[in-house]
Amino acid sequence: MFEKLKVLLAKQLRIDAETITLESSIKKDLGADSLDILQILMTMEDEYGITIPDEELANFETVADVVNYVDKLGLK
Amino acid sequence: MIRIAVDCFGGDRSPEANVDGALLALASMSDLQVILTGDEEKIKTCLEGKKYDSTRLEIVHAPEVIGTDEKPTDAIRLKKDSSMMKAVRLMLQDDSVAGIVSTGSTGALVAAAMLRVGRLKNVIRPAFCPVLPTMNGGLVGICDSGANVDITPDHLLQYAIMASLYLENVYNVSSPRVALLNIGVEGEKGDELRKTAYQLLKNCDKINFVGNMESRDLLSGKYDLVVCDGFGGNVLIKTTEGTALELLKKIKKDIFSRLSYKIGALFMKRMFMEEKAFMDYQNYGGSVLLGTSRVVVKGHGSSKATAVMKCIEQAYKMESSRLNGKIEESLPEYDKRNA
Repeated sequence: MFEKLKVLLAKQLRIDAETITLESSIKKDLGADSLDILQILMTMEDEYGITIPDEELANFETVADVVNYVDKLGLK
Repeated sequence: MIRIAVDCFGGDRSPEANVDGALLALASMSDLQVILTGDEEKIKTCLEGKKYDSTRLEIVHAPEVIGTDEKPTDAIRLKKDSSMMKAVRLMLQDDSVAGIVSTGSTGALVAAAMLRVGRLKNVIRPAFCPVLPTMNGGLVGICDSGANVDITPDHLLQYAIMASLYLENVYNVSSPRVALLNIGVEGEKGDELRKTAYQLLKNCDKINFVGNMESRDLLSGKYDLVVCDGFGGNVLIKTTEGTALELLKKIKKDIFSRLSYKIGALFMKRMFMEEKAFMDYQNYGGSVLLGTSRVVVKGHGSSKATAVMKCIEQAYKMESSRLNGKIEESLPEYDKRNA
């Protein structure tokens, strides 16, 4: 999952995928804004056929937060 | 060949006006191809008996319609088979589809544009830029007319750069005169947002900033572009349109109040018709969304065929002039963490 998310984040944020770690803060370290995060999550929804509730969005601070959320759903 | 996807449902006059508008556009632009999305049978019924180049028209079936009363973020997630989202997806899956024209739900189109289509590099927020006719026969662009309510001075600077390029490339306005909507023309007028934006705009060498503008001067012809927050822009445009419409109604009512007025008006009928056409938004197309990574044009919900055709023409010109590339080249680097 982490590798997939890295590719997605790198494409969306136009950054080098190798600079992304699990500890990276999506906003502070990777330079994303709220629209970027929504766009990435919607792409994930499409890819996995899931719906991420709006109230979850505030919990996604780091890359690990997103990876853990998707892992909990049993998706790869 | 420039390919444009046309969402044929969701407007007040859909699908007839959208289909007829697409046919008018095909007739006037020889290297245009349109992809009509929506209920295939209904679209085919609209096409019956009409002459058009079938090699430049394609239909993609989409049985659902997004209503104006639906929550935009839910609609774009859940109604994947809607005419609007099919058009958006076509554009995202096929690079040869340059843009989308829709007369459907504004909220859903903005959400789809921002969250599905995405932004050009360094764009903080895409913004709407409709144009209105001015009293000297020219046009004035208003950016933003309602996409973003809460903004910073950097947003306004980006609107000025993007919309100047739009007016230059789509309407052939040379070095557009840019004004900042404010409560007075003096540079120190307004709140902190306006004061800071004034300095940013004044010091930007990529635009022709001429100072502050009061709302009463919108149609004066002194300015080619006014930049403002989406809230102010929306109030500005609706107040202007509403005043013009109410004034026309009042004049019409007064003419019929006396026989002598009626006789006088008879001699002026042609002039009244010309003024009506001059102010009719149907002749000015739609509102483009500047800053999205692909072309997005929103037509008025009540668009007739002519207005839809104009919207397609706007999308065509944006693509053929390579507007998005020019916007990306012109916008300064921006760290979105400041937004």
